[in-house]
Amino acid sequence: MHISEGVLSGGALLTGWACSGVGIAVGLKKTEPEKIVRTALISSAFFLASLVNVKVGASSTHLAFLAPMGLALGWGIFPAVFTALILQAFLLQFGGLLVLGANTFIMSSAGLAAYLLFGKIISRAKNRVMIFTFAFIAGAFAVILGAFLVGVFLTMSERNFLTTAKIILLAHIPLAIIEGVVTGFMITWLRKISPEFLEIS
Amino acid sequence: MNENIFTIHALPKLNAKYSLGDLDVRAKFAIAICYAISIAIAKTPGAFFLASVLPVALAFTLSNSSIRTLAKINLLNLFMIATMILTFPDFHKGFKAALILTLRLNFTCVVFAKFFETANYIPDAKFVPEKIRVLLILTIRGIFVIQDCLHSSILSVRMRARNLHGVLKWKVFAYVIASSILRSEARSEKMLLAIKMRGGFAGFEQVRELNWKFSDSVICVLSGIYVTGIFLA
Repeated sequence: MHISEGVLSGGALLTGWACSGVGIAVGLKKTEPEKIVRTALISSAFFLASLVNVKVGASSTHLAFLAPMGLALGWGIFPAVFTALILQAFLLQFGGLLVLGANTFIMSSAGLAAYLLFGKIISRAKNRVMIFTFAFIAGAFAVILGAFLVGVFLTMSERNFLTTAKIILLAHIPLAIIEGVVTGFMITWLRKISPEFLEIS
Repeated sequence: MNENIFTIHALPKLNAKYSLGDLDVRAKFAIAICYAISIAIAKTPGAFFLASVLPVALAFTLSNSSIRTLAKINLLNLFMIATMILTFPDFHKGFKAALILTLRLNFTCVVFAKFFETANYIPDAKFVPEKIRVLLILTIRGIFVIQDCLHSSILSVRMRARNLHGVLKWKVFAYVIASSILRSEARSEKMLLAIKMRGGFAGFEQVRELNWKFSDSVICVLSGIYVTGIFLA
Protein backbone atom coordinates (compact mmCIF):
# COMPACT_ATOMS: atom_id res chain seq x y z
CA MET A 1 0.00 0.00 0.00
CA HIS A 2 3.05 2.25 0.11
CA ILE A 3 3.54 4.52 -2.89
CA SER A 4 7.18 4.68 -3.89
CA GLU A 5 9.25 7.87 -4.17
CA GLY A 6 9.25 9.49 -7.62
CA VAL A 7 5.90 8.08 -8.75
CA LEU A 8 3.57 10.95 -7.85
CA SER A 9 3.36 14.29 -9.63
CA GLY A 10 3.83 17.65 -7.87
CA GLY A 11 0.06 18.22 -7.58
CA ALA A 12 -0.57 14.79 -6.05
CA LEU A 13 2.30 15.26 -3.58
CA LEU A 14 0.95 18.67 -2.55
CA THR A 15 -2.58 17.26 -2.12
CA GLY A 16 -1.19 14.45 0.03
CA TRP A 17 0.79 16.79 2.27
CA ALA A 18 -2.09 19.27 2.61
CA CYS A 19 -4.62 16.56 3.58
CA SER A 20 -2.28 14.71 5.93
CA GLY A 21 -1.08 18.02 7.45
CA VAL A 22 -4.64 18.87 8.46
CA GLY A 23 -5.16 15.33 9.76
CA ILE A 24 -1.91 15.34 11.79
CA ALA A 25 -2.74 18.78 13.28
CA VAL A 26 -6.24 17.64 14.32
CA GLY A 27 -4.85 14.30 15.55
CA LEU A 28 -2.17 15.97 17.69
CA LYS A 29 -4.70 18.38 19.16
CA LYS A 30 -7.10 15.57 20.02
CA THR A 31 -4.39 13.30 21.47
CA GLU A 32 -4.24 14.03 25.19
CA PRO A 33 -0.80 13.67 26.88
CA GLU A 34 -1.92 10.56 28.80
CA LYS A 35 -2.93 8.87 25.53
CA ILE A 36 0.43 9.42 23.86
CA VAL A 37 1.81 6.09 25.13
CA ARG A 38 -1.11 4.22 23.58
CA THR A 39 -0.67 6.10 20.30
CA ALA A 40 3.05 5.24 20.25
CA LEU A 41 2.34 1.58 21.04
CA ILE A 42 -0.20 1.24 18.25
CA SER A 43 2.25 3.00 15.95
CA SER A 44 4.87 0.38 16.95
CA ALA A 45 2.35 -2.41 16.29
CA PHE A 46 1.68 -0.95 12.82
CA PHE A 47 5.44 -0.92 12.16
CA LEU A 48 5.83 -4.51 13.35
CA ALA A 49 2.78 -5.68 11.35
CA SER A 50 4.63 -4.77 8.17
CA LEU A 51 7.27 -7.36 9.10
CA VAL A 52 4.70 -10.19 9.38
CA ASN A 53 4.44 -11.87 5.99
CA VAL A 54 1.11 -13.39 5.02
CA LYS A 55 1.20 -16.04 2.31
CA VAL A 56 -1.38 -15.40 -0.43
CA GLY A 57 -1.06 -18.17 -3.03
CA ALA A 58 2.40 -18.04 -4.55
CA SER A 59 3.01 -14.50 -3.34
CA SER A 60 3.01 -12.88 0.11
CA THR A 61 1.78 -9.63 1.60
CA HIS A 62 1.75 -8.04 5.06
CA LEU A 63 -0.92 -6.88 7.48
CA ALA A 64 -1.58 -3.20 8.09
CA PHE A 65 -4.05 -3.08 11.07
CA LEU A 66 -5.71 0.03 9.62
CA ALA A 67 -9.17 -0.55 11.14
CA PRO A 68 -7.92 -1.59 14.63
CA MET A 69 -5.74 1.56 14.64
CA GLY A 70 -8.68 3.74 13.69
CA LEU A 71 -11.02 2.11 16.22
CA ALA A 72 -8.43 2.45 19.01
CA LEU A 73 -7.19 5.97 18.27
CA GLY A 74 -9.84 7.84 16.25
CA TRP A 75 -8.23 11.00 14.84
CA GLY A 76 -5.00 10.03 16.65
CA ILE A 77 -4.36 7.58 13.79
CA PHE A 78 -2.80 10.39 11.72
CA PRO A 79 0.24 11.08 13.99
CA ALA A 80 0.56 7.34 14.72
CA VAL A 81 0.75 6.39 11.03
CA PHE A 82 3.00 9.38 10.29
CA THR A 83 5.65 8.34 12.85
CA ALA A 84 5.48 4.66 11.83
CA LEU A 85 5.89 5.58 8.15
CA ILE A 86 8.92 7.75 8.93
CA LEU A 87 10.53 4.74 10.61
CA GLN A 88 9.51 2.42 7.76
CA ALA A 89 11.02 4.82 5.20
CA PHE A 90 14.32 4.96 7.09
CA LEU A 91 14.68 1.40 8.33
CA LEU A 92 12.88 -0.68 5.70
CA GLN A 93 12.94 1.66 2.68
CA PHE A 94 9.12 1.42 2.33
CA GLY A 95 7.64 4.50 0.64
CA GLY A 96 9.74 7.66 0.93
CA LEU A 97 9.96 11.10 2.49
CA LEU A 98 8.42 13.21 -0.26
CA VAL A 99 5.49 10.78 -0.59
CA LEU A 100 5.14 10.55 3.19
CA GLY A 101 2.20 12.99 3.09
CA ALA A 102 0.29 10.96 0.50
CA ASN A 103 1.03 7.63 2.21
CA THR A 104 0.02 9.02 5.62
CA PHE A 105 -3.24 10.35 4.20
CA ILE A 106 -4.07 7.10 2.38
CA MET A 107 -3.57 4.82 5.37
CA SER A 108 -4.86 7.15 8.08
CA SER A 109 -8.01 8.16 6.24
CA ALA A 110 -8.82 4.49 5.58
CA GLY A 111 -8.54 3.75 9.32
CA LEU A 112 -10.40 6.94 10.24
CA ALA A 113 -13.22 6.10 7.83
CA ALA A 114 -13.56 2.67 9.49
CA TYR A 115 -13.77 4.44 12.88
CA LEU A 116 -16.32 7.04 11.73
CA LEU A 117 -18.53 4.55 9.88
CA PHE A 118 -18.39 1.50 12.15
CA GLY A 119 -17.22 2.85 15.55
CA LYS A 120 -20.68 3.62 16.92
CA ILE A 121 -22.23 0.43 15.49
CA ILE A 122 -19.50 -1.72 17.10
CA SER A 123 -19.81 0.11 20.44
CA ARG A 124 -23.61 -0.44 20.48
CA ALA A 125 -23.46 -4.09 19.37
CA LYS A 126 -24.37 -6.35 22.28
CA ASN A 127 -23.45 -9.89 21.27
CA ARG A 128 -20.06 -11.16 20.10
CA VAL A 129 -21.26 -12.31 16.67
CA MET A 130 -22.48 -8.78 15.84
CA ILE A 131 -19.23 -7.20 17.09
CA PHE A 132 -17.17 -9.67 15.05
CA THR A 133 -19.28 -9.12 11.91
CA PHE A 134 -19.05 -5.32 11.99
CA ALA A 135 -15.36 -5.38 12.94
CA PHE A 136 -14.73 -7.79 10.04
CA ILE A 137 -16.49 -5.43 7.63
CA ALA A 138 -14.56 -2.45 9.07
CA GLY A 139 -11.21 -4.27 8.66
CA ALA A 140 -11.87 -5.36 5.09
CA PHE A 141 -13.36 -1.97 4.16
CA ALA A 142 -10.28 -0.09 5.44
CA VAL A 143 -7.92 -2.17 3.29
CA ILE A 144 -10.09 -1.81 0.17
CA LEU A 145 -10.45 1.94 0.76
CA GLY A 146 -6.67 2.25 1.22
CA ALA A 147 -6.02 0.41 -2.06
CA PHE A 148 -8.66 2.55 -3.80
CA LEU A 149 -6.98 5.75 -2.54
CA VAL A 150 -3.60 4.48 -3.79
CA GLY A 151 -5.26 4.11 -7.20
CA VAL A 152 -6.73 7.62 -6.98
CA PHE A 153 -3.32 9.16 -6.21
CA LEU A 154 -1.63 7.16 -9.00
CA THR A 155 -4.27 8.11 -11.58
CA MET A 156 -4.10 11.74 -10.40
CA SER A 157 -0.39 11.72 -11.33
CA GLU A 158 -0.58 9.80 -14.62
CA ARG A 159 -3.66 8.52 -16.46
CA ASN A 160 -1.74 5.47 -17.73
CA PHE A 161 -1.59 4.20 -14.15
CA LEU A 162 -5.27 3.20 -14.36
CA THR A 163 -4.49 -0.47 -15.15
CA THR A 164 -1.90 -0.56 -12.33
CA ALA A 165 -4.51 0.91 -9.97
CA LYS A 166 -7.01 -1.82 -10.92
CA ILE A 167 -4.38 -4.54 -10.34
CA ILE A 168 -3.52 -3.05 -6.93
CA LEU A 169 -7.20 -3.04 -5.94
CA LEU A 170 -7.66 -6.69 -7.00
CA ALA A 171 -4.43 -7.77 -5.29
CA HIS A 172 -5.66 -6.34 -1.98
CA ILE A 173 -8.87 -8.43 -1.85
CA PRO A 174 -7.23 -11.50 -0.17
CA LEU A 175 -5.47 -9.17 2.29
CA ALA A 176 -8.81 -7.45 3.02
CA ILE A 177 -10.37 -10.79 3.99
CA ILE A 178 -7.45 -11.76 6.25
CA GLU A 179 -7.33 -8.28 7.79
CA GLY A 180 -11.10 -8.45 8.33
CA VAL A 181 -10.81 -11.77 10.18
CA VAL A 182 -7.91 -10.51 12.36
CA THR A 183 -9.74 -7.22 13.07
CA GLY A 184 -12.92 -9.13 13.95
CA PHE A 185 -11.19 -11.34 16.52
CA MET A 186 -9.04 -8.50 17.86
CA ILE A 187 -11.91 -6.05 18.42
CA THR A 188 -14.19 -8.74 19.90
CA TRP A 189 -11.45 -9.67 22.37
CA LEU A 190 -10.60 -6.06 23.23
CA ARG A 191 -14.30 -5.17 23.76
CA LYS A 192 -14.50 -8.04 26.26
CA ILE A 193 -11.13 -7.71 28.06
CA SER A 194 -10.28 -4.00 27.89
CA PRO A 195 -13.08 -1.87 26.39
CA GLU A 196 -11.43 1.38 27.59
CA PHE A 197 -8.56 0.69 25.16
CA LEU A 198 -10.86 1.44 22.22
CA GLU A 199 -11.72 5.03 21.29
CA ILE A 200 -15.25 3.89 20.40
CA SER A 201 -16.06 3.11 24.04
CA MET B 1 43.04 18.29 26.48
CA ASN B 2 40.21 20.76 25.98
CA GLU B 3 37.47 19.91 28.48
CA ASN B 4 34.97 22.24 26.83
CA ILE B 5 34.62 19.75 24.01
CA PHE B 6 32.37 17.66 26.30
CA THR B 7 29.86 20.44 26.92
CA ILE B 8 26.73 20.83 24.87
CA HIS B 9 27.79 24.34 23.84
CA ALA B 10 30.79 22.93 21.98
CA LEU B 11 28.61 20.92 19.61
CA PRO B 12 27.81 23.72 17.11
CA LYS B 13 31.57 24.41 16.86
CA LEU B 14 32.24 20.75 16.12
CA ASN B 15 29.48 20.74 13.49
CA ALA B 16 31.03 23.80 11.85
CA LYS B 17 34.09 21.70 10.97
CA TYR B 18 32.01 19.88 8.37
CA SER B 19 31.34 21.55 5.01
CA LEU B 20 27.56 21.93 5.47
CA GLY B 21 27.68 22.04 9.27
CA ASP B 22 27.52 25.83 9.57
CA LEU B 23 24.04 25.94 8.03
CA ASP B 24 21.01 25.84 10.32
CA VAL B 25 19.25 22.46 10.31
CA ARG B 26 15.99 24.19 9.26
CA ALA B 27 17.76 25.76 6.28
CA LYS B 28 19.21 22.38 5.30
CA PHE B 29 15.75 20.86 5.52
CA ALA B 30 14.23 23.66 3.41
CA ILE B 31 16.94 23.25 0.75
CA ALA B 32 16.48 19.46 0.61
CA ILE B 33 12.70 19.89 0.25
CA CYS B 34 13.23 22.53 -2.50
CA TYR B 35 15.47 20.21 -4.53
CA ALA B 36 13.19 17.21 -4.01
CA ILE B 37 10.18 19.28 -5.17
CA SER B 38 12.11 20.54 -8.21
CA ILE B 39 12.82 16.91 -9.20
CA ALA B 40 9.15 15.99 -8.71
CA ILE B 41 7.71 18.90 -10.72
CA ALA B 42 10.20 18.86 -13.63
CA LYS B 43 8.21 17.88 -16.74
CA THR B 44 10.24 18.96 -19.79
CA PRO B 45 13.65 17.36 -20.56
CA GLY B 46 15.37 20.75 -20.03
CA ALA B 47 13.81 21.24 -16.60
CA PHE B 48 14.63 17.65 -15.66
CA PHE B 49 18.26 18.12 -16.71
CA LEU B 50 18.48 21.34 -14.68
CA ALA B 51 16.97 19.65 -11.63
CA SER B 52 19.34 16.67 -11.90
CA VAL B 53 22.62 18.66 -11.86
CA LEU B 54 22.91 18.97 -8.08
CA PRO B 55 21.78 15.40 -7.17
CA VAL B 56 24.30 13.95 -9.66
CA ALA B 57 27.07 16.06 -8.09
CA LEU B 58 25.97 15.08 -4.56
CA ALA B 59 25.85 11.38 -5.48
CA PHE B 60 29.66 11.31 -5.64
CA THR B 61 29.92 12.56 -2.05
CA LEU B 62 27.57 10.01 -0.45
CA SER B 63 28.80 7.72 2.31
CA ASN B 64 28.96 3.94 1.81
CA SER B 65 25.91 3.30 4.00
CA SER B 66 23.82 5.74 1.93
CA ILE B 67 24.94 4.02 -1.29
CA ARG B 68 23.92 0.64 0.16
CA THR B 69 20.49 2.08 1.05
CA LEU B 70 20.16 3.47 -2.48
CA ALA B 71 20.91 0.01 -3.90
CA LYS B 72 18.18 -1.52 -1.68
CA ILE B 73 15.67 1.10 -2.83
CA ASN B 74 16.50 0.36 -6.48
CA LEU B 75 15.99 -3.34 -5.84
CA LEU B 76 12.48 -2.62 -4.51
CA ASN B 77 11.89 -0.32 -7.48
CA LEU B 78 12.40 -3.18 -9.95
CA PHE B 79 8.87 -4.40 -9.17
CA MET B 80 7.44 -0.97 -10.01
CA ILE B 81 9.44 -0.82 -13.27
CA ALA B 82 8.13 -4.23 -14.36
CA THR B 83 4.54 -3.24 -13.45
CA MET B 84 4.77 -0.02 -15.48
CA ILE B 85 6.23 -1.69 -18.56
CA LEU B 86 3.61 -4.46 -18.47
CA THR B 87 0.52 -2.38 -17.64
CA PHE B 88 0.98 0.81 -19.69
CA PRO B 89 -1.00 0.85 -22.98
CA ASP B 90 2.16 1.37 -25.05
CA PHE B 91 5.50 -0.41 -24.34
CA HIS B 92 7.56 2.69 -25.20
CA LYS B 93 5.44 4.93 -22.97
CA GLY B 94 5.78 2.45 -20.13
CA PHE B 95 9.54 2.16 -20.59
CA LYS B 96 9.94 5.96 -20.71
CA ALA B 97 7.80 6.42 -17.57
CA ALA B 98 9.77 3.69 -15.75
CA LEU B 99 13.07 5.37 -16.68
CA ILE B 100 11.86 8.77 -15.45
CA LEU B 101 10.56 7.16 -12.25
CA THR B 102 13.93 5.48 -11.58
CA LEU B 103 15.82 8.74 -12.14
CA ARG B 104 13.40 10.71 -9.94
CA LEU B 105 13.60 8.08 -7.21
CA ASN B 106 17.41 8.08 -7.22
CA PHE B 107 17.76 11.88 -7.34
CA THR B 108 15.26 12.40 -4.52
CA CYS B 109 16.94 9.74 -2.39
CA VAL B 110 20.39 11.29 -3.00
CA VAL B 111 19.13 14.71 -1.86
CA PHE B 112 17.53 13.34 1.31
CA ALA B 113 20.46 11.01 2.06
CA LYS B 114 22.85 13.98 1.89
CA PHE B 115 20.53 16.00 4.12
CA PHE B 116 20.47 13.29 6.78
CA GLU B 117 24.23 12.76 6.54
CA THR B 118 24.82 16.43 7.36
CA ALA B 119 21.89 17.05 9.73
CA ASN B 120 22.85 14.25 12.16
CA TYR B 121 19.91 13.71 14.52
CA ILE B 122 16.59 15.45 13.78
CA PRO B 123 14.10 14.81 16.62
CA ASP B 124 16.02 17.03 19.07
CA ALA B 125 15.63 20.08 16.84
CA LYS B 126 13.21 22.71 18.11
CA PHE B 127 11.18 22.94 14.91
CA VAL B 128 9.79 19.40 15.34
CA PRO B 129 6.58 19.59 17.48
CA GLU B 130 7.10 18.16 20.97
CA LYS B 131 4.27 15.60 20.66
CA ILE B 132 5.80 14.23 17.43
CA ARG B 133 9.22 14.05 19.09
CA VAL B 134 7.83 12.19 22.12
CA LEU B 135 5.78 9.95 19.84
CA LEU B 136 8.82 9.08 17.74
CA ILE B 137 10.96 8.22 20.77
CA LEU B 138 8.19 6.14 22.39
CA THR B 139 7.41 4.39 19.08
CA ILE B 140 11.03 3.32 18.65
CA ARG B 141 11.11 2.00 22.22
CA GLY B 142 7.61 0.50 21.84
CA ILE B 143 8.80 -1.63 18.91
CA PHE B 144 11.26 -3.44 21.19
CA VAL B 145 8.78 -3.74 24.06
CA ILE B 146 6.03 -5.23 21.83
CA GLN B 147 8.57 -7.47 20.12
CA ASP B 148 9.61 -8.83 23.51
CA CYS B 149 5.98 -9.46 24.54
CA LEU B 150 5.19 -11.04 21.16
CA HIS B 151 8.18 -13.35 21.45
CA SER B 152 7.10 -14.74 24.82
CA SER B 153 3.45 -15.04 23.65
CA ILE B 154 4.39 -16.89 20.46
CA LEU B 155 6.65 -19.26 22.41
CA SER B 156 3.85 -20.11 24.84
CA VAL B 157 1.38 -20.62 21.96
CA ARG B 158 3.81 -22.96 20.19
CA MET B 159 4.30 -24.98 23.38
CA ARG B 160 0.53 -25.47 23.68
CA ALA B 161 -0.41 -25.92 20.01
CA ARG B 162 2.33 -26.48 17.47
CA ASN B 163 0.19 -26.82 14.32
CA LEU B 164 -2.50 -24.22 13.95
CA HIS B 165 -4.42 -24.00 10.68
CA GLY B 166 -7.18 -21.99 9.02
CA VAL B 167 -9.30 -19.50 10.93
CA LEU B 168 -8.00 -20.74 14.30
CA LYS B 169 -4.50 -19.61 13.32
CA TRP B 170 -5.76 -16.06 12.67
CA LYS B 171 -7.83 -16.09 15.85
CA VAL B 172 -4.77 -16.97 17.93
CA PHE B 173 -2.69 -14.43 16.00
CA ALA B 174 -5.23 -11.66 16.70
CA TYR B 175 -5.36 -12.52 20.42
CA VAL B 176 -1.56 -12.65 20.65
CA ILE B 177 -1.21 -9.22 19.01
CA ALA B 178 -3.98 -7.62 21.10
CA SER B 179 -2.71 -9.09 24.38
CA SER B 180 0.88 -8.05 23.54
CA ILE B 181 -0.25 -4.44 22.99
CA LEU B 182 -2.14 -4.43 26.31
CA ARG B 183 0.80 -5.95 28.21
CA SER B 184 3.22 -3.52 26.55
CA GLU B 185 1.10 -0.52 27.57
CA ALA B 186 1.95 -1.01 31.24
CA ARG B 187 5.68 -1.23 30.45
CA SER B 188 5.53 1.82 28.19
CA GLU B 189 3.77 3.87 30.91
CA LYS B 190 6.68 3.03 33.23
CA MET B 191 9.12 3.98 30.48
CA LEU B 192 7.45 7.38 30.00
CA LEU B 193 7.53 7.94 33.76
CA ALA B 194 11.26 7.09 33.84
CA ILE B 195 11.93 9.54 31.00
CA LYS B 196 9.97 12.27 32.82
CA MET B 197 11.83 11.60 36.09
CA ARG B 198 15.18 12.01 34.31
CA GLY B 199 14.18 15.49 33.22
CA GLY B 200 11.46 14.83 30.71
CA PHE B 201 11.68 16.00 27.16
CA ALA B 202 12.12 19.64 28.07
CA GLY B 203 15.91 19.73 27.96
CA PHE B 204 16.56 17.73 24.81
CA GLU B 205 16.56 20.69 22.44
CA GLN B 206 19.52 22.23 24.31
CA VAL B 207 21.74 19.73 22.50
CA ARG B 208 21.25 21.53 19.21
CA GLU B 209 21.45 25.32 19.39
CA LEU B 210 19.46 26.54 16.43
CA ASN B 211 20.94 29.68 14.99
CA TRP B 212 19.37 31.12 11.84
CA LYS B 213 21.90 33.36 10.07
CA PHE B 214 21.85 35.68 7.06
CA SER B 215 23.59 33.01 4.95
CA ASP B 216 20.72 30.60 5.73
CA SER B 217 18.19 33.14 4.45
CA VAL B 218 20.24 33.74 1.28
CA ILE B 219 20.58 30.03 0.46
CA CYS B 220 16.85 29.43 1.11
CA VAL B 221 15.87 32.32 -1.22
CA LEU B 222 18.23 30.96 -3.91
CA SER B 223 16.70 27.50 -3.56
CA GLY B 224 13.23 29.03 -3.88
CA ILE B 225 14.27 30.84 -7.09
CA TYR B 226 15.73 27.57 -8.40
CA VAL B 227 12.43 25.70 -7.83
CA THR B 228 10.43 28.53 -9.44
CA GLY B 229 12.80 28.46 -12.44
CA ILE B 230 12.31 24.72 -12.88
CA PHE B 231 8.54 25.11 -12.50
CA LEU B 232 8.49 27.74 -15.26
CA ALA B 233 10.97 25.92 -17.57
